[in-house]
Amino acid sequence: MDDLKIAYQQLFPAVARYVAKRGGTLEEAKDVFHDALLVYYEKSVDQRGAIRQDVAAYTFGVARHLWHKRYREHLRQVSLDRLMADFEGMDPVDFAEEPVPAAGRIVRVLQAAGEKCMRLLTAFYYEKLDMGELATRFGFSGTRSATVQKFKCLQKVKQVVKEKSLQYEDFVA
Amino acid sequence: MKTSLRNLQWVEDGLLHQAAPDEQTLFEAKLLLDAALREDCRWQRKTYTAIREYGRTQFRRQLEDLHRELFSAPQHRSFRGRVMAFFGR
Repeated sequence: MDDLKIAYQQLFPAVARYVAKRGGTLEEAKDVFHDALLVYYEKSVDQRGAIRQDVAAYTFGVARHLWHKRYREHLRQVSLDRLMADFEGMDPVDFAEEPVPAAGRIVRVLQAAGEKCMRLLTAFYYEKLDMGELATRFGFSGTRSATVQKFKCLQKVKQVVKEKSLQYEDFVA
Repeated sequence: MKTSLRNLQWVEDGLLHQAAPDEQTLFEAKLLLDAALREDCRWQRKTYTAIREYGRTQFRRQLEDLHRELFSAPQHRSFRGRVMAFFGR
Protein backbone atom coordinates (compact mmCIF):
# COMPACT_ATOMS: atom_id res chain seq x y z
CA MET A 1 0.00 0.00 0.00
CA ASP A 2 2.86 2.38 0.81
CA ASP A 3 4.54 1.74 -2.54
CA LEU A 4 1.24 2.30 -4.24
CA LYS A 5 0.73 5.56 -2.33
CA ILE A 6 4.17 6.81 -3.35
CA ALA A 7 3.51 5.85 -6.98
CA TYR A 8 0.14 7.59 -6.82
CA GLN A 9 1.65 10.82 -5.52
CA GLN A 10 4.41 10.75 -8.10
CA LEU A 11 2.39 9.80 -11.15
CA PHE A 12 -1.07 11.29 -10.76
CA PRO A 13 -0.13 14.99 -11.19
CA ALA A 14 1.12 14.45 -14.77
CA VAL A 15 -2.12 12.70 -15.76
CA ALA A 16 -4.25 15.33 -13.99
CA ARG A 17 -2.37 18.10 -15.77
CA TYR A 18 -2.80 16.43 -19.16
CA VAL A 19 -6.55 15.93 -18.68
CA ALA A 20 -7.10 19.42 -17.21
CA LYS A 21 -5.31 21.06 -20.14
CA ARG A 22 -7.78 19.42 -22.51
CA GLY A 23 -10.82 20.52 -20.58
CA GLY A 24 -11.34 17.26 -18.66
CA THR A 25 -12.33 16.95 -15.00
CA LEU A 26 -10.58 15.63 -11.90
CA GLU A 27 -13.00 12.68 -11.92
CA GLU A 28 -12.04 11.79 -15.50
CA ALA A 29 -8.34 12.06 -14.63
CA LYS A 30 -8.85 9.76 -11.63
CA ASP A 31 -10.83 7.28 -13.73
CA VAL A 32 -8.20 6.84 -16.43
CA PHE A 33 -5.31 6.97 -13.96
CA HIS A 34 -6.76 4.15 -11.85
CA ASP A 35 -7.20 2.00 -14.92
CA ALA A 36 -3.68 2.82 -16.10
CA LEU A 37 -2.27 1.67 -12.74
CA LEU A 38 -4.39 -1.48 -13.00
CA VAL A 39 -3.10 -2.23 -16.49
CA TYR A 40 0.49 -1.70 -15.33
CA TYR A 41 -0.06 -3.89 -12.27
CA GLU A 42 -1.50 -6.74 -14.36
CA LYS A 43 1.33 -6.49 -16.86
CA SER A 44 3.96 -6.55 -14.13
CA VAL A 45 2.48 -9.61 -12.37
CA ASP A 46 2.15 -11.39 -15.72
CA GLN A 47 5.85 -10.86 -16.27
CA ARG A 48 6.66 -11.54 -12.60
CA GLY A 49 8.27 -8.15 -12.09
CA ALA A 50 10.37 -8.32 -15.27
CA ILE A 51 8.40 -5.54 -16.97
CA ARG A 52 10.72 -3.42 -19.09
CA GLN A 53 8.69 -0.26 -19.45
CA ASP A 54 9.25 2.66 -17.13
CA VAL A 55 6.24 2.90 -14.80
CA ALA A 56 5.81 6.68 -15.25
CA ALA A 57 5.96 6.62 -19.04
CA TYR A 58 3.80 3.53 -19.30
CA THR A 59 0.99 4.64 -16.98
CA PHE A 60 0.96 8.10 -18.55
CA GLY A 61 0.71 6.55 -22.03
CA VAL A 62 -2.15 4.26 -20.99
CA ALA A 63 -4.02 7.06 -19.19
CA ARG A 64 -3.71 9.32 -22.24
CA HIS A 65 -4.92 6.51 -24.53
CA LEU A 66 -7.91 5.74 -22.29
CA TRP A 67 -8.86 9.40 -21.87
CA HIS A 68 -8.97 9.87 -25.63
CA LYS A 69 -11.00 6.72 -26.14
CA ARG A 70 -13.48 7.36 -23.34
CA TYR A 71 -13.91 11.10 -23.41
CA ARG A 72 -13.03 12.12 -26.97
CA GLU A 73 -14.32 9.14 -28.87
CA HIS A 74 -17.17 8.65 -26.35
CA LEU A 75 -16.44 4.98 -25.73
CA ARG A 76 -17.27 5.06 -22.02
CA GLN A 77 -19.31 1.85 -22.02
CA VAL A 78 -16.61 -0.17 -23.78
CA SER A 79 -14.66 -2.59 -21.56
CA LEU A 80 -11.10 -1.85 -20.49
CA ASP A 81 -9.78 -4.90 -22.36
CA ARG A 82 -11.36 -3.77 -25.59
CA LEU A 83 -10.08 -0.21 -25.19
CA MET A 84 -6.59 -1.51 -24.52
CA ALA A 85 -6.58 -3.90 -27.49
CA ASP A 86 -5.08 -1.29 -29.83
CA PHE A 87 -2.60 0.13 -27.33
CA GLU A 88 0.97 -0.28 -28.48
CA GLY A 89 2.85 -3.07 -26.74
CA MET A 90 -0.27 -4.66 -25.28
CA ASP A 91 -0.30 -8.44 -25.09
CA PRO A 92 -3.49 -10.20 -26.15
CA VAL A 93 -5.63 -10.70 -23.06
CA ASP A 94 -6.67 -14.22 -22.06
CA PHE A 95 -10.42 -14.78 -22.16
CA ALA A 96 -10.99 -11.28 -23.58
CA GLU A 97 -13.73 -12.76 -25.72
CA GLU A 98 -15.84 -13.28 -22.61
CA PRO A 99 -18.30 -10.42 -22.03
CA VAL A 100 -17.97 -8.96 -18.56
CA PRO A 101 -20.91 -8.11 -16.29
CA ALA A 102 -21.10 -5.18 -13.86
CA ALA A 103 -18.35 -5.42 -11.25
CA GLY A 104 -20.70 -4.85 -8.32
CA ARG A 105 -22.80 -7.85 -9.26
CA ILE A 106 -19.74 -10.10 -9.66
CA VAL A 107 -18.48 -9.22 -6.21
CA ARG A 108 -21.87 -9.78 -4.56
CA VAL A 109 -22.39 -13.09 -6.30
CA LEU A 110 -18.89 -14.44 -5.72
CA GLN A 111 -19.03 -13.59 -2.05
CA ALA A 112 -21.54 -16.42 -1.87
CA ALA A 113 -18.60 -18.75 -2.53
CA GLY A 114 -16.97 -17.50 0.68
CA GLU A 115 -14.50 -14.72 1.31
CA LYS A 116 -11.57 -17.00 2.08
CA CYS A 117 -11.99 -18.85 -1.20
CA MET A 118 -12.20 -15.62 -3.14
CA ARG A 119 -9.06 -14.25 -1.47
CA LEU A 120 -7.23 -17.49 -2.24
CA LEU A 121 -8.32 -17.62 -5.88
CA THR A 122 -7.60 -13.93 -6.44
CA ALA A 123 -4.13 -14.38 -4.95
CA PHE A 124 -3.42 -17.21 -7.35
CA TYR A 125 -5.14 -16.16 -10.58
CA TYR A 126 -4.96 -12.36 -10.28
CA GLU A 127 -1.88 -11.62 -8.17
CA LYS A 128 -0.23 -14.69 -9.77
CA LEU A 129 1.38 -15.93 -6.56
CA ASP A 130 2.97 -19.36 -6.90
CA MET A 131 1.88 -22.28 -4.72
CA GLY A 132 4.67 -21.75 -2.20
CA GLU A 133 3.72 -18.10 -1.71
CA LEU A 134 0.07 -19.09 -1.52
CA ALA A 135 0.79 -21.72 1.17
CA THR A 136 2.72 -19.17 3.24
CA ARG A 137 0.15 -16.42 2.95
CA PHE A 138 -2.80 -18.63 3.83
CA GLY A 139 -1.04 -20.81 6.40
CA PHE A 140 -1.16 -24.17 4.58
CA SER A 141 1.27 -26.88 5.60
CA GLY A 142 2.72 -27.08 2.08
CA THR A 143 2.14 -26.60 -1.62
CA ARG A 144 0.16 -29.84 -1.90
CA SER A 145 -2.53 -28.80 0.56
CA ALA A 146 -2.57 -25.30 -0.98
CA THR A 147 -3.17 -26.90 -4.41
CA VAL A 148 -6.00 -29.09 -3.13
CA GLN A 149 -7.65 -26.12 -1.40
CA LYS A 150 -7.27 -23.97 -4.51
CA PHE A 151 -9.07 -26.54 -6.66
CA LYS A 152 -11.79 -27.03 -4.02
CA CYS A 153 -12.39 -23.27 -4.12
CA LEU A 154 -12.31 -23.21 -7.92
CA GLN A 155 -14.91 -25.98 -8.00
CA LYS A 156 -17.13 -24.06 -5.58
CA VAL A 157 -16.85 -20.81 -7.54
CA LYS A 158 -17.42 -22.57 -10.86
CA GLN A 159 -20.66 -23.96 -9.44
CA VAL A 160 -21.74 -20.49 -8.25
CA VAL A 161 -20.91 -18.97 -11.65
CA LYS A 162 -22.89 -21.71 -13.38
CA GLU A 163 -25.95 -21.28 -11.13
CA LYS A 164 -25.91 -17.50 -11.34
CA SER A 165 -25.31 -17.45 -15.09
CA LEU A 166 -28.38 -19.59 -15.57
CA GLN A 167 -30.30 -17.33 -13.21
CA TYR A 168 -29.17 -13.99 -14.64
CA GLU A 169 -28.48 -13.87 -18.34
CA ASP A 170 -26.04 -10.97 -18.03
CA PHE A 171 -23.87 -12.60 -15.38
CA VAL A 172 -20.69 -13.56 -17.25
CA ALA A 173 -22.97 -14.19 -20.21
CA MET B 1 -6.83 -35.43 -4.74
CA LYS B 2 -10.39 -36.50 -5.64
CA THR B 3 -11.20 -37.39 -9.25
CA SER B 4 -13.39 -34.29 -9.68
CA LEU B 5 -10.53 -32.04 -8.53
CA ARG B 6 -8.04 -33.86 -10.73
CA ASN B 7 -10.36 -33.30 -13.68
CA LEU B 8 -10.58 -29.62 -12.82
CA GLN B 9 -6.79 -29.46 -12.83
CA TRP B 10 -6.59 -31.30 -16.14
CA VAL B 11 -8.97 -28.82 -17.75
CA GLU B 12 -7.06 -25.91 -16.23
CA ASP B 13 -3.74 -27.19 -17.54
CA GLY B 14 -5.25 -27.58 -21.00
CA LEU B 15 -6.99 -24.21 -21.05
CA LEU B 16 -3.99 -22.31 -19.73
CA HIS B 17 -1.55 -24.27 -21.93
CA GLN B 18 0.32 -25.58 -18.90
CA ALA B 19 0.07 -29.26 -19.77
CA ALA B 20 2.98 -31.38 -21.01
CA PRO B 21 3.01 -31.51 -24.85
CA ASP B 22 1.41 -35.00 -25.03
CA GLU B 23 -1.31 -34.08 -22.57
CA GLN B 24 -1.96 -30.81 -24.39
CA THR B 25 -2.45 -32.66 -27.68
CA LEU B 26 -4.78 -35.12 -25.97
CA PHE B 27 -6.75 -32.27 -24.39
CA GLU B 28 -7.17 -30.47 -27.71
CA ALA B 29 -8.20 -33.67 -29.50
CA LYS B 30 -10.80 -34.44 -26.80
CA LEU B 31 -12.06 -30.89 -27.02
CA LEU B 32 -12.85 -31.41 -30.68
CA LEU B 33 -14.70 -34.66 -30.08
CA ASP B 34 -16.40 -34.18 -26.74
CA ALA B 35 -19.27 -31.67 -26.53
CA ALA B 36 -19.59 -32.13 -22.75
CA LEU B 37 -15.93 -31.21 -22.30
CA ARG B 38 -16.39 -28.11 -24.47
CA GLU B 39 -19.33 -27.07 -22.29
CA ASP B 40 -17.31 -27.71 -19.13
CA CYS B 41 -14.43 -25.60 -20.50
CA ARG B 42 -16.87 -22.78 -21.25
CA TRP B 43 -17.89 -22.67 -17.56
CA GLN B 44 -14.31 -22.85 -16.40
CA ARG B 45 -13.38 -19.90 -18.66
CA LYS B 46 -16.29 -17.90 -17.28
CA THR B 47 -15.06 -18.68 -13.79
CA TYR B 48 -11.58 -17.34 -14.57
CA THR B 49 -13.14 -14.20 -16.05
CA ALA B 50 -15.24 -13.72 -12.91
CA ILE B 51 -12.20 -14.20 -10.64
CA ARG B 52 -10.22 -11.65 -12.66
CA GLU B 53 -13.06 -9.12 -12.41
CA TYR B 54 -13.24 -9.76 -8.67
CA GLY B 55 -9.50 -9.07 -8.40
CA ARG B 56 -9.86 -5.90 -10.45
CA THR B 57 -12.69 -4.68 -8.24
CA GLN B 58 -10.56 -5.20 -5.13
CA PHE B 59 -7.63 -3.36 -6.72
CA ARG B 60 -9.89 -0.44 -7.78
CA ARG B 61 -11.28 -0.22 -4.23
CA GLN B 62 -7.75 0.07 -2.91
CA LEU B 63 -7.08 2.93 -5.36
CA GLU B 64 -10.35 4.68 -4.41
CA ASP B 65 -9.34 4.52 -0.73
CA LEU B 66 -5.94 5.98 -1.58
CA HIS B 67 -7.50 8.76 -3.64
CA ARG B 68 -9.89 9.61 -0.81
CA GLU B 69 -7.01 9.73 1.65
CA LEU B 70 -4.79 11.90 -0.56
CA PHE B 71 -7.64 14.32 -1.24
CA SER B 72 -8.81 14.68 2.35
CA ALA B 73 -6.04 14.04 4.90
CA PRO B 74 -4.37 17.23 6.20
CA GLN B 75 -0.84 15.86 5.66
CA HIS B 76 -1.45 15.67 1.90
CA ARG B 77 -2.57 19.29 1.54
CA SER B 78 0.31 20.31 -0.73
CA PHE B 79 -0.23 17.33 -3.09
CA ARG B 80 -3.92 18.16 -3.24
CA GLY B 81 -3.25 21.86 -3.89
CA ARG B 82 -0.84 21.02 -6.70
CA VAL B 83 -3.38 18.81 -8.47
CA MET B 84 -6.37 21.08 -7.92
CA ALA B 85 -4.45 24.02 -9.38
CA PHE B 86 -4.51 22.26 -12.78
CA PHE B 87 -8.28 22.37 -12.67
CA GLY B 88 -8.36 26.04 -11.66
CA ARG B 89 -9.57 25.29 -8.14
